[in-house]
Amino acid sequence: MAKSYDVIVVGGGHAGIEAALAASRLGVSVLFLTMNPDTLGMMSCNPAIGGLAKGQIVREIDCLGGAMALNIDATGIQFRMLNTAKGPAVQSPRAQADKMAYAGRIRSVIENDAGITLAMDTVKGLIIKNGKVCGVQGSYEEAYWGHTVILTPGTFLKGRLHIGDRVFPGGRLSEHPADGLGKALFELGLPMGRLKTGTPARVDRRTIDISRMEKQEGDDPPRPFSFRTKALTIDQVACYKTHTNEKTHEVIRNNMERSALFSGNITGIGPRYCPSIEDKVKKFPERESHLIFVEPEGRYTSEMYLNGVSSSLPAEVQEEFLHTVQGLEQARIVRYAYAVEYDYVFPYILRETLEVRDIPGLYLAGQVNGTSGYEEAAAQGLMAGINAALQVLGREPFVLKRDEAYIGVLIDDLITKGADEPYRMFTSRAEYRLLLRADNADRRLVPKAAAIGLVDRTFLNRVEEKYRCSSELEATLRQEALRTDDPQWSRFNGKKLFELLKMKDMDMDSLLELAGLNAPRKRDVLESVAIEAKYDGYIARALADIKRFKKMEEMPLPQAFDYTSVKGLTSEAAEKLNKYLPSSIGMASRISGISPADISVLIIRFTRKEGL
Amino acid sequence: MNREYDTIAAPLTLRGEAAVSLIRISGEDAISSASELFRCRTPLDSAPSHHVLFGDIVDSQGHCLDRALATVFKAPSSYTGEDVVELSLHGSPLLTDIIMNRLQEKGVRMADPGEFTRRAFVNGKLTLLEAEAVADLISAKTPALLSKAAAVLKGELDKKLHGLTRRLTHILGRLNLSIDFDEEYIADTHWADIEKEIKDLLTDIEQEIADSQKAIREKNGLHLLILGPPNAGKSSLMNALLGHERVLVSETPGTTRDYVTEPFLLEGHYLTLIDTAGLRDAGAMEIERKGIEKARALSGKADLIIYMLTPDTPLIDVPSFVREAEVPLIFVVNKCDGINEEKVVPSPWIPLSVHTEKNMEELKTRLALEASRLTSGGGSGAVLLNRRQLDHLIRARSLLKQAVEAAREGAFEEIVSDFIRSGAEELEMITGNRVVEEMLNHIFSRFCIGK
Repeated sequence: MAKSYDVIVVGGGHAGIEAALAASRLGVSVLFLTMNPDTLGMMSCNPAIGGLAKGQIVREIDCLGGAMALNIDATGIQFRMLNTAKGPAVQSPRAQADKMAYAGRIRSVIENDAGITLAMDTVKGLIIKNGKVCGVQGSYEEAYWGHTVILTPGTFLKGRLHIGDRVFPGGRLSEHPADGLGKALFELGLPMGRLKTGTPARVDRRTIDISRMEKQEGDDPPRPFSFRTKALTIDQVACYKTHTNEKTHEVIRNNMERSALFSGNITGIGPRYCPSIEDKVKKFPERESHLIFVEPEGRYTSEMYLNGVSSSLPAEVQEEFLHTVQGLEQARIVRYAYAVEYDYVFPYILRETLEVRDIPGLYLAGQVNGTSGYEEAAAQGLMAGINAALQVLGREPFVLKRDEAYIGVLIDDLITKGADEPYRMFTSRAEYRLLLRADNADRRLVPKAAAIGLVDRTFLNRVEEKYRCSSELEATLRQEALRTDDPQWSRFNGKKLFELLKMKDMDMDSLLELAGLNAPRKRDVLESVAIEAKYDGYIARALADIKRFKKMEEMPLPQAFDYTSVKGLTSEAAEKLNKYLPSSIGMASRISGISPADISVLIIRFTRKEGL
Repeated sequence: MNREYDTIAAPLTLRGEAAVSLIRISGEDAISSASELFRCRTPLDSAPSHHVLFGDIVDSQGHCLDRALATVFKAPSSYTGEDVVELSLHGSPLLTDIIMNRLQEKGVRMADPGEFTRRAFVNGKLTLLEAEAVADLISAKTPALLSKAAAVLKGELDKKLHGLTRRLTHILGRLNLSIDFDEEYIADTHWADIEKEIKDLLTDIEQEIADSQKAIREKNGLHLLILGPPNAGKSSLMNALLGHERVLVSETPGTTRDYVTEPFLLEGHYLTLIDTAGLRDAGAMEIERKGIEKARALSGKADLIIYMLTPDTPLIDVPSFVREAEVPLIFVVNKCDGINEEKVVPSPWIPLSVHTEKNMEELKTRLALEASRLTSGGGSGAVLLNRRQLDHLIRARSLLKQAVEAAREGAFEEIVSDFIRSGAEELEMITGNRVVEEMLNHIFSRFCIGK
């Protein structure tokens, strides 16, 4: 028999990459199968990493030893912090990527990883023996053997691309779909549905007039994603903003029925939060214009990505409506916008580890679970990779809770609520978003990651040192009172420095100067204490909340149980619970269609003491 | 058998000789176990649901013990949502005992307190608020409370609270739109609008709290405290109001050493009378001094205070803790009879004689007036009727106040949003949309057997 691997990862996108790297990091052997090594780490849609809530996820991936943050730091061409008008908890880093550089660099990371064997094949099916997965069938090789298999097929399962009434089989334009694997999963009896997403046109930079658009520069200085990147010294490029107008909308309205979306060609459900321009025009008739961000696809390409106008209109209509937009009158389209429809698996069949409950050893991650976005995919890949490796090693699974990480929120949402439309992360999905910040991801996750062996001692030491200094500084500020002759501030003399820091127009630098505490301190330490001060009290409240609901959240439910035997549950609720098999009351309470009355029934059924 | 699914039974009527005694049997075996003690032309297991059958109650040998009525309610169209049989028999305690014993021999378990209603809740027949309203309806002491509990039972409170939650969700939606779509749908937060919306909501919540406090006060009975120096005739007044000799009275000052409470209905108002040890500063014995201390403590919990003196005491002699109590005070001068009658008693003091019943009717009218002031309002509509619900609403109010404050101070959207979300959660806990185990236990522990 041929060599058997500990973990087989199928699919070379952002989920697959993190899965392979994480598993290898834990010391198990990894076979990484991709349809084409040239497309490893491709960014199929927008040329950016991060963004609202997603930026937090990237930081979390970094703190769990993942590659995404370091990779964008190395290949990003513009860095910005979003939401700076709001509080630090909802601020998120975002960067424009050089797509080719991003993919190229990550490929070399994979190739240089001693634990990963990279091979090209198109997987057609799974090999399952005695109900357990033990390998995959390739197109070129009969069989690849492995103890665990992580599938990250992205949009490739029965992928169909739509431009107007034209339909091309594929996962991306010019690339083959993975119909065989899609069929195999369906035949395994996995519950599957169809989703749709879309991407806008790319235009030739030389044919657009950026002088008539609003310029958007990166932050100065640019701030890295990774806690492991010391500083960024790059030459940043600019993005541009322009708008659709009434004329644009008229062209679109006149051709609405020619869009694949409305012609009946597409049955999959698209994301409400990232609608095509046809959708926007149709659903918001009162809006006179929609924003378009014009973003470079890379440093050395003239292709520009038109963020905000994804479409599945015919090629000539795309050209016509773009030409109505200021600055795009002469734009030449290099790649047309298209919609992609693909199969996905209803994620309720997954455990918190992303393992398919009924097929031990099989893990699913990324868009196949109904999510959208590189970051959401990478996070799942990472968690699947970690857990597959831990399973092989016979170690405890690694699960993050909703109050610990956005990744915890993401996976919990997927397995309890499912994804009726492509799932995108929002800060409002996290009950404890004041705690789940981009700035404190290191504090939240690095100790956990170090305990498992996902990050090295140096990283942990640095984080511990940072928060030791922060605590020290915080203690000083809480203890010392203000004593100044400064006429603007002297009326606050006697007030504790930490309290002053909470004031809106006071920042850390001014305070330290005012108080004469001039010892040199690291920027991240100062920032961390400043944020703690701004949220002081609110954080305490969030922690109290967690404690309050913890008992119910963690009240366990049986993992093998027939809920139809529980009287008082509606048959729909019993059916749902049998399907989802939630591991705790808290998880059950988040399953859509499970009512509070059903939860009461469960509480009474599983926890009731005599004589209530 | 699992306690959740077994068949349970209990008499619904109080034990004692009466015209009728009603027994409810609920659960899978309700019909089969009832048919063994009820004989009728139509066997119970083939009887139509919701029809009254006439037949015999029989003993184990088949001898007739009583002629009775039986009604079958088939699941899910019954009070508990399970199969239910209700037997109406003549009100003999012995007969009821015999039937309950026979049911137990058949494996039917005596229902726990509140168990019928708990099953109704578990089976989705009643919402949490409705289940609580059952307890309130049963214990309602006044017509006003009865109609309020009935309104809750009809689901009106659920509707009202959902309305409030919806409004909060709406505000949350707008705040989060601006947080989560910073660049895509640029929507500046209109703080003034948001502040106004929260304040409008707060006004409504304030009203709910005020109505609820009145209703709960009425439900618990208004605490009417009678205070005064020793031998003023406080215990006599209590006996006179009650219409019977509840408290021992004597000529010796300080006869009442502890306090004595007694419920009392006055013109549709439910009051609890509290007679106390006489107040005096010096000379009291140890045990009496403790009673005085208690009286002081009680005044903090009173809803209404009568302060009583006699004509031979200077009228200014009112202790400061009484004068400062934030409740209506009624000042009376007792023993305005016989030789002291000519003494002029200035307003607001009411000259009174418990002995000759002078001005007793006036005092009662005054008490009723104060009581209705304290409990009126809110109409007959649904209000929060218990402390659990009210506590959540008060917490919601405080969270929303903090939201307004934070918004005014220019706090970030996510902080304001956090307060509002927590506020909405409190409302959901009232309706049971957010379930916490302790809450359920607490709620169902309030029921007495058979309800």
